[in-house]
Amino acid sequence: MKRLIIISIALFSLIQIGALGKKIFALEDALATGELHLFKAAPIDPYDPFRGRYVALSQENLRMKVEEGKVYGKGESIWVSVVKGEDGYSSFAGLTFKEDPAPKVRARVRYSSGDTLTIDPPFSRFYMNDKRAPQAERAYRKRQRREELGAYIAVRLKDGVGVIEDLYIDGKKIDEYLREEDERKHD
Amino acid sequence: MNSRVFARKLLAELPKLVSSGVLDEDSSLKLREYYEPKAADGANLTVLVFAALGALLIGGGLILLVAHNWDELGRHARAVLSILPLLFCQIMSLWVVLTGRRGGAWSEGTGIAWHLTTGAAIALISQTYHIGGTVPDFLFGWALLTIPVTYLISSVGAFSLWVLTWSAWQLSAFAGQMEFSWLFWPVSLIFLPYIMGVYRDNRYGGRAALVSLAVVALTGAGCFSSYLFLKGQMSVYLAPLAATSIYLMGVNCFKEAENPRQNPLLSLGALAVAILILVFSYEDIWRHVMSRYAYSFRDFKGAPGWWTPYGYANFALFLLSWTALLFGALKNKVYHALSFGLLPAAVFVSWLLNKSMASYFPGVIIINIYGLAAGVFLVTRASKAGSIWALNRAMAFIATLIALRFFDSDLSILLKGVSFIIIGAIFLAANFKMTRKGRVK
Repeated sequence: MKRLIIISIALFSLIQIGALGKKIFALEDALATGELHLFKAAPIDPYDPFRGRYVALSQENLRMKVEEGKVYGKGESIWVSVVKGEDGYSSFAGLTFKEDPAPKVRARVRYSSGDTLTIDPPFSRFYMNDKRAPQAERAYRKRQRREELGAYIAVRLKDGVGVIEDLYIDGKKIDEYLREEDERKHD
Repeated sequence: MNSRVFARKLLAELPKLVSSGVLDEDSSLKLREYYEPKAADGANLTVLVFAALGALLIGGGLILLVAHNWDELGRHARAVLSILPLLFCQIMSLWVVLTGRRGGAWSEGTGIAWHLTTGAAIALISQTYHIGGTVPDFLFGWALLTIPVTYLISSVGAFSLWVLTWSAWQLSAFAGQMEFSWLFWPVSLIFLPYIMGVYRDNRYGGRAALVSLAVVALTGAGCFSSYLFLKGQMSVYLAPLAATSIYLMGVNCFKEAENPRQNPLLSLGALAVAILILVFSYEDIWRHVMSRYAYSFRDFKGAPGWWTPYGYANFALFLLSWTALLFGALKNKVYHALSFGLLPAAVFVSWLLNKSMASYFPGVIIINIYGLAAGVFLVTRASKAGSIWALNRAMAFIATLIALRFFDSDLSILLKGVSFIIIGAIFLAANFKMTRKGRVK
């Protein structure tokens, strides 16, 4: 009995570590070899009790056409194709399927009505240090009031796995942007 | 007297009884063998509680450390760090089993830590790679990845945490992760052998009490999660059916419990039934229940997964449990269980009369009379049994029911004041009478 329990613990431990390791490997692989896409984003700063402070992101073109008569339920998981625009930013083009070789991501249906549906933004969170996340939001909001300010995320996409590489504000990585903000304050 | 306290006192007396010739050595040895595990149960439980508390604090602290977001460490270091505490707990579990500590305090501490470090690992990976997803997504993955922990390490703490995670997921699932919600009961049933095993070992011990609390949590989550997905008036019966099922389970399966702590199912079930009687005794509730538009699932229509069948299956499950447990109580001649156990029937009759008379008033009267009758019956029973605690609980219930009706009514403040004084005086008189009779238990 004891031996059986030990073997079971060892096997289950392998399954647990294997499941998490597989996830990490897929994410690392997407980051290393995935295609780069830039998505326009508007950051705000909420909190997750387990995963801490993050900058919530929203992307453009979350509404898309669906075929007549097809009903999608709230929260349903779907595949969405991604296309690069002429301005350099990528956007969501429409519904697709898992086997589609073109760039795609998984998304959830927020609501569907008639021949259109709206998805929740597939890249919704950029986790940051609990001090710097509100700082990032404040800086973004403050400058956005005065001038046209672009915020976007760099995402690596591979085989349907999408990983955010970094958040950019005003063309600068968020760390660099906040550092410069600090320096401006001290001056 | 508490069986543990009694066992300790008896063990302390044994040498004296043997030396004075009241008891022979053989009988003394048999008594010692029988009562020693009972006396040790409390000590074990204290160690278990502190081990569990320690593991909870460490695990909770770990989750807070994760939440701080150590972005200065770099992505790869954080990816490795996310798995290290989990790996440590897995190795600890092997050590616990290898050194024969499985089932004790080490098991509890390790099991709890294993559950929490799995959550911390998923959280840290999500944070490191900016994985989106809602809290229900996170809880779902966490619960699925920790199912075997309870069995492997035999930890009631790990089981309780798993139930909390699973119930929290189910209650929040309608906010964005519905396609797997039907899995709630099938996955929960995996733990049925564990629950039965704990009850078989000692159904009146501390572990069994924790398991009973977990059963209540699962029933509550199953009840509330299906509330929105039942058509029309069926949802009205869900809470009464779930509450009375818990209550009757306590009545049928824990007959020899010496105090409410040894029978949380009965205590919590009775509390839930009492609250429901008070809720259904209001006019406004029946006005809402009888309203045509009170219950619709328009927001969830077309939701993925089997939400509607899930709602109906839950209803059927609670209805079957209630019927079986009620018959069980009748078969065992535990007729006093009918006082609170008949609440779903009272609600059904109320609804039926309301419907046929196109009014909500009959329901209000029926539930108030039912509540008052049940309360009076429980007071009489407690008085006969000489249990001052049971008497006070039953009287507190009647007093609340009467007080609510007084607040409802347009009676003058003077009359309300006098009535409250009379109720208080009856309370005092009953307690005084009981104490004087010397029948207090």
